[in-house]
Amino acid sequence: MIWLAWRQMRTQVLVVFGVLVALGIALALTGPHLVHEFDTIIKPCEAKPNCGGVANFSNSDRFLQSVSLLLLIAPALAGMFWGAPLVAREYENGTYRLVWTQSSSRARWLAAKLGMGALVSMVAVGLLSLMTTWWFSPIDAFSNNSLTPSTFDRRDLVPIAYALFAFAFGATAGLILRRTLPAMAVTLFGFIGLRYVVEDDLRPHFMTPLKLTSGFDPLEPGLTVGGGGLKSSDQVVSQETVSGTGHVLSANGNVGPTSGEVNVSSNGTVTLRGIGKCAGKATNAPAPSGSVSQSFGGPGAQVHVGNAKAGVPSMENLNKIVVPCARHYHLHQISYYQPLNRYWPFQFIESGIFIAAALVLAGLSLWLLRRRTA
Amino acid sequence: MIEFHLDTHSGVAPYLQIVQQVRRALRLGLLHEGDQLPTVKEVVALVAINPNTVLKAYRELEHDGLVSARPGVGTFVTRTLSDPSLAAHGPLRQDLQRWLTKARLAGLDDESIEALFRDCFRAALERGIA
Amino acid sequence: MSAVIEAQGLGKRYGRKWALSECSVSIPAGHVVGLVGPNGAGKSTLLNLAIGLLQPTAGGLEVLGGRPTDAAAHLGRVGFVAQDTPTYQSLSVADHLKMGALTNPTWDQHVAEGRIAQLGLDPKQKAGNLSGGQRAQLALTMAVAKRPELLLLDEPVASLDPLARREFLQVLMETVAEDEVSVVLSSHLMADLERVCDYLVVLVSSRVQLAGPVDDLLASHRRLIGPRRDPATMPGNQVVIESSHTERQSTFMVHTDDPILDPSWTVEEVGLEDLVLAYMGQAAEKARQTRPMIGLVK
Repeated sequence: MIWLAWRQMRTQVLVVFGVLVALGIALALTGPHLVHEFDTIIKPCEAKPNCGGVANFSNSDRFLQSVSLLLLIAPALAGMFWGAPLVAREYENGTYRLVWTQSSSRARWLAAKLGMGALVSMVAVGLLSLMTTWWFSPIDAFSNNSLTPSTFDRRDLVPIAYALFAFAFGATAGLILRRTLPAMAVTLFGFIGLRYVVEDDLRPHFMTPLKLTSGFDPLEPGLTVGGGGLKSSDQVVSQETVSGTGHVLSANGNVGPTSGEVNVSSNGTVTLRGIGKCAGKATNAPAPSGSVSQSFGGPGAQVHVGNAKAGVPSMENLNKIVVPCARHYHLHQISYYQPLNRYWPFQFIESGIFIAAALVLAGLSLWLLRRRTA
Repeated sequence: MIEFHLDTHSGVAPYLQIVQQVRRALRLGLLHEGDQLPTVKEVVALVAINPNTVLKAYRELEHDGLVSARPGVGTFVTRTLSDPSLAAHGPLRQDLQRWLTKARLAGLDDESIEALFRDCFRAALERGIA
Repeated sequence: MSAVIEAQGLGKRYGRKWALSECSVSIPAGHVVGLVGPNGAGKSTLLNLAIGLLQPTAGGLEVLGGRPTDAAAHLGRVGFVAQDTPTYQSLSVADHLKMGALTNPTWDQHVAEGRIAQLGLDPKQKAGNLSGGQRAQLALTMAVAKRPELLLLDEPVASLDPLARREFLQVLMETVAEDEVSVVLSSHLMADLERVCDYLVVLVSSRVQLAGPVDDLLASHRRLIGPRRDPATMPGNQVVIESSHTERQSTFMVHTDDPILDPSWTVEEVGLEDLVLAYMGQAAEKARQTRPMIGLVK
C-alpha cells in the first residue's frame, strides 16, 4: 500500500521538487546580489531611526515578494492539490472498486495515502520555508519584525504545520464529499478560516502578554514606537489609557473627541469621559487660514477638515486645556505586548495547534472510512 | 485435431452439438482410434462455452462407447464409426456432386434440395430398395 | 454442495428507493452463475454487497460462509471485477500486477505474468492507453491471479465490442476449466449468458424472480400452443408465466414438472432467452398493477 501511495504521487512529487530545486538555484544565484544591496541600502540606514530603506528594499524586490507569496500559499496548495483529490479522485474514477477489493484493509490503504501525502507536503513546504528563512535572515535580523503576522507565518516551522493541516483537511473533505472540486473549495476556506482565527484571536495570547506602563502624551496619544519603553520588535496586543484611580478612559489607546473620550460642551467646558472635568474653558477661535484643523464640540458635532468653523474650539485651544488636565488626573498608558524573544515558543505553540488539528482530522477520516464499510 | 463450433440458432442443445460433431468426425474418418479429443480447456478457450457442457458431451460419448476418459491424461477415441468403404466410394461421391450442381442450376435452394432428397429416400425405403 | 452466496431477505436502500429488496437466494458452488435482469434491477447492488463495497440495509448475506468484510483472509478468496473495469490510468500494466502482488497474500505472479503474455499485453503500457477489451482482461487477470474460490463479475463485457466480448469469455471459461472457481456474472446480454452459464438468477425490479440450474429451468418450462383458452382454466400443476392470444389460438408458456398429456396442445421447448423474457415481462406486469393510482386525497 505504501508503494501504491508513492507511485500515485510520484509524477507530481518530481515536478514539485524540480521546481523547488530550480528555485533554490535561483536564490543561491541572487544571494550575492542581496548581500551587495544590503550593504549599500540597509547598512547606512542603521544610524537613522526611522529609515524607510528596509521597507523600500523589501517591497521593491519583486523576486523577494514572489518567494514570500509562494510560501504563503504553498500550504493551501498542498491541501487543495494533494489532500482534496487523495480520496475524492478514487471515488470519481471508480478506482476505489479496484483497490478496496484487493486483500488489504481499507484502513491500511488510507493510512498509507495519508502518511505519504503528509510526508511529501511537509518536506516540500519545509524546503521552501528553509530557503525563504535563510534568504530573508539578514533582513529579519535588521528589522526585528519576526513577530509581525506577515513575517511570522512565513518562517521556520509554522508553514510546515500549516501544510500538514491543510493536507489533512483536504483529505478529510475529499473523503466526505467524494468530489474533488468541492473538496478543494472547502479546503481553501477551511484553511483560511483556521489561520485567521489562530492569527487574530489565539496567537496574541499564546503566553500571557507582558505589561508596560508608560506616560500618556495627549499630543501623541496612540504612538508607541520609541515612546514609553516599547521597542519596534515588540508586538502590541492591546493598549489602555487609564487614570490615576484606575479608571479606563480608553480601551484601545485612542483618546480624542471623535471617539468620545473628550467631551466639549457648548460653553467650552471640557470633560474627560468618566473621569472628570478639566479646569478652564476651551475658547473658540478661528484657526489661521490655510491650516487644516478639526473642530469639534459636544456629541453630534461635525468634524471639519479645512478652515475652522467659527464658534467651535480648535485643536490647539483644546490641547491647552487637555494637557494639564491629563497630568492632573495622572493619565497613563498601559500596553500589553509580546516581546521578540518569544518568537520560538510561539512558533512551537502555533505549530503544535495545527499539527494537533491535523492529527484529529486524520483520526476522523480513518474512523469515517471504517464506519462506511465495516 | 478436431475443432468444434457452436451454432446458437440451431435449436440443438450445445452439448448435443459437440456429440454430433464428434460422431460426424468419426464417421468421416477424420478421427481414428487412439486419437485424443481436445481437452476441456482447449475447447472452451476456443468456443466460449461452459466447461460442464463439454464434460457432458464427452460423458455421453463415453456412455455410447465411442471414447474413453483417462484421468490426468485426456479423452481418447476407442471406436470409430467410419465405414472404410465410404472413403472408397469415389464415383458415388462424384455422381452426387454432379447431381447437386444440377439441382443448384435448376434453381433449387438448400431446403428444397434436402426435401427432394428426403422424399426420394423415404420413397425408396418404402419400396425396399435402400 | 455448499452455497457460495447465501442471501436472506437482503435489501439495500438509498434514501427512499430500494435498489434491492427481499432478495433471498442460495447460489451453489461449482457453477457459472448468470445474474440477469434489466438495468436498474439490482444486479450491481447485489454484487457490490457480496464483495463488501456496500452494507445491507436489511436482511442477511453470507459469502463463502462468512459476512463480507475487508479482512485479507476473506478478500483473498473472492475476486471482483467492477462495472466498467476501473484501472489506474497513469499506472502501467506491470504496476497493476505489482499492486496485486503487494496487497494480496495469495497472489500468484507466474499466473498473472503468464496471462498478460498470453493476451499479448505490453507490461509497460499505461492502463489509460489500453483498449476497453484489454482493460477488461487486465481487471480479470488481477481478480484471477489471487487464486480465488469465487469470482464476481459486474457486467464486465457490457461496453465491449463483440470480438473483445468473445475473447473475454474465452479467457474466463479457460479459467473455470482450469481452476475450481465459482463464477457469478451479471449481464443484460442473454446471448453471452446462454453460452457460459449453467445456473441462472433472474432479477427484476429489485427482486429475485427465478433461480435455478439452467438444465432444470429448461426442462420445467414448455410452450403450449392450442385452441383459444382462458389462462385461469389451466390445470393447477401448470403455472402460466406468459400468455398471448389470437382470435382462435392461445400460446402459453408454463412452468410444470409433470408431463403434458392434453393432446390438443402442441408442445415446444423454450429457449433460455424466451424464458427470461417471459419472467421479466411477468414482473413488469405485476409492478404496473401494484403501482398506486394518482388521485386526490382528501
